[in-house]
Amino acid sequence: MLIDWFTVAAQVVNFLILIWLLKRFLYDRIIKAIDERETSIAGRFEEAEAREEKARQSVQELAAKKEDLEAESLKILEQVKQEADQRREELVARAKEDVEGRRSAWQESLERDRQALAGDLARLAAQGAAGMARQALEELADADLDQRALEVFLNKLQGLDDSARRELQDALSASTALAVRSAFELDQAQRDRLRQALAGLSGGEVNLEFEHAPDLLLGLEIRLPGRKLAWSLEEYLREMGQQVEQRLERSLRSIAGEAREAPQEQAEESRV
Amino acid sequence: MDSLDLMGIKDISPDALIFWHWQWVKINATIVYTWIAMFLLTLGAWLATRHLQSGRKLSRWQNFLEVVVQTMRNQIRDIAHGDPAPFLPFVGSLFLFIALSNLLTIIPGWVPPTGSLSTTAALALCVLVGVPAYGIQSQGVKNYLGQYVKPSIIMLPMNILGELSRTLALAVRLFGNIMSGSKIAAILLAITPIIFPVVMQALGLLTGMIQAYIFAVLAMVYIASAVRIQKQREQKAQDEALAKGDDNG
Repeated sequence: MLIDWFTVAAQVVNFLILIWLLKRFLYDRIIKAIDERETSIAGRFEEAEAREEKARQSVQELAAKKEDLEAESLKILEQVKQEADQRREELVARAKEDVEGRRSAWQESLERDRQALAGDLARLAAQGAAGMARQALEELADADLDQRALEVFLNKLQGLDDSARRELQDALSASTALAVRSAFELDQAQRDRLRQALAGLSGGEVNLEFEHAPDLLLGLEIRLPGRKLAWSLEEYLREMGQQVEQRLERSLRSIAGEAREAPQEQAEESRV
Repeated sequence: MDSLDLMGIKDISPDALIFWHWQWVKINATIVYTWIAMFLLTLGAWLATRHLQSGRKLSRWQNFLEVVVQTMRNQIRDIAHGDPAPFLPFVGSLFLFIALSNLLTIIPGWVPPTGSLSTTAALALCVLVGVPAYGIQSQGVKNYLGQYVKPSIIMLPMNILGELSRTLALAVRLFGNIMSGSKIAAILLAITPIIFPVVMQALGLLTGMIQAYIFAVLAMVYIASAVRIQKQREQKAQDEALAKGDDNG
């Protein structure tokens, strides 16, 4: 008989024991180790993924921060540029103002100098002309001329306008004596003619006080309060001097105006 | 030659080699060599799994055993179409024990316990009991026993006979292969002591490994066929649930 039943039973028991032993020492342990390793590998993968995700996030954050910084730096640069431009414009404007101020001051002083010089020249010219005329008339003056001057004065008295005539009448009717200044010494006849003419105007006796005034050069004058009735060369000369001065003033002013415009044009050209 | 010394060429079974006996209790070569194989397996497993690493670095033995265990699990998974965990200790131990017993025939003086019909019968009996045990555990007594009367009650004797005959076939196939391998090697040693027995020994190793694989795989196939109906039902329910989920999604 090939089968020994005791051995069969013993082998069954042996095999069951072997199953238990191998389960205890081999399968359970090995499978546990494999599972643990797989779990740890999976865990490591997860960790790596999480780390990768974190890294990606931090990369994004850094990129965003970098962009912000760049934008900010651009903004600051722009601001600085603007400020610099503004500052430059201010400085240029101030410099221009300064230059303009100095130039206009210089021009003004120049103008003043020129005007003063021109005025002086005009006055000198007028005075010179008047002086020459005076000199000539002084040399020409004589009794006939004085007589002619009186005649002219009397004619002028006749041709007075109403207001002057009234003023003269008021002055004549006053108690105080009326001063009559003449470039030449009036003789009695001449004095009477004058007194007559004035009496004719006022319609009564007149009280006159005669005075010799060689500075009148030629002619005579009557001083009323606030008014002067006169015909004298001095008067003419003064008027002539005034007119010459006025004319000179006008022409000088026009010259000065041109002169002022010219530098401005030059300045504009240089600015362009 | 040592094996020849230990076991006569005429001795078919190592059962006959009795070291000690008291009444009907006896310790023969089969049991002793089974113990040795068991001891070696347990010792190897213990040594390898003593300092198990779950980190990156593995010892060579751990790596080897992991490969073996993983391969067995994959094979079981392929056959069972399911979780290999409940079957691994039983089927894996069958394979490891038979494989080691056959592998050690390369060592002179080794008497393979699988060359004893008693051992193979014991293993086949374990399968014979294990198959309905797994079947009942999976499907319940009624469902499992119901398989024997399918498709009709007439098939009951056939089914029972089939169960018994395949158990017998398991036992005899392994016994015949290993026993004949040992005997052929022994006979050839006597006739042509040089070179040729080495070839036959190598061939015997191959046969031994194949027989271990066949025994384990067949046991798994039997168990799987007992468990499968339940599995198929579960699979069907799972598929329906998935389909419903897809529709909803």
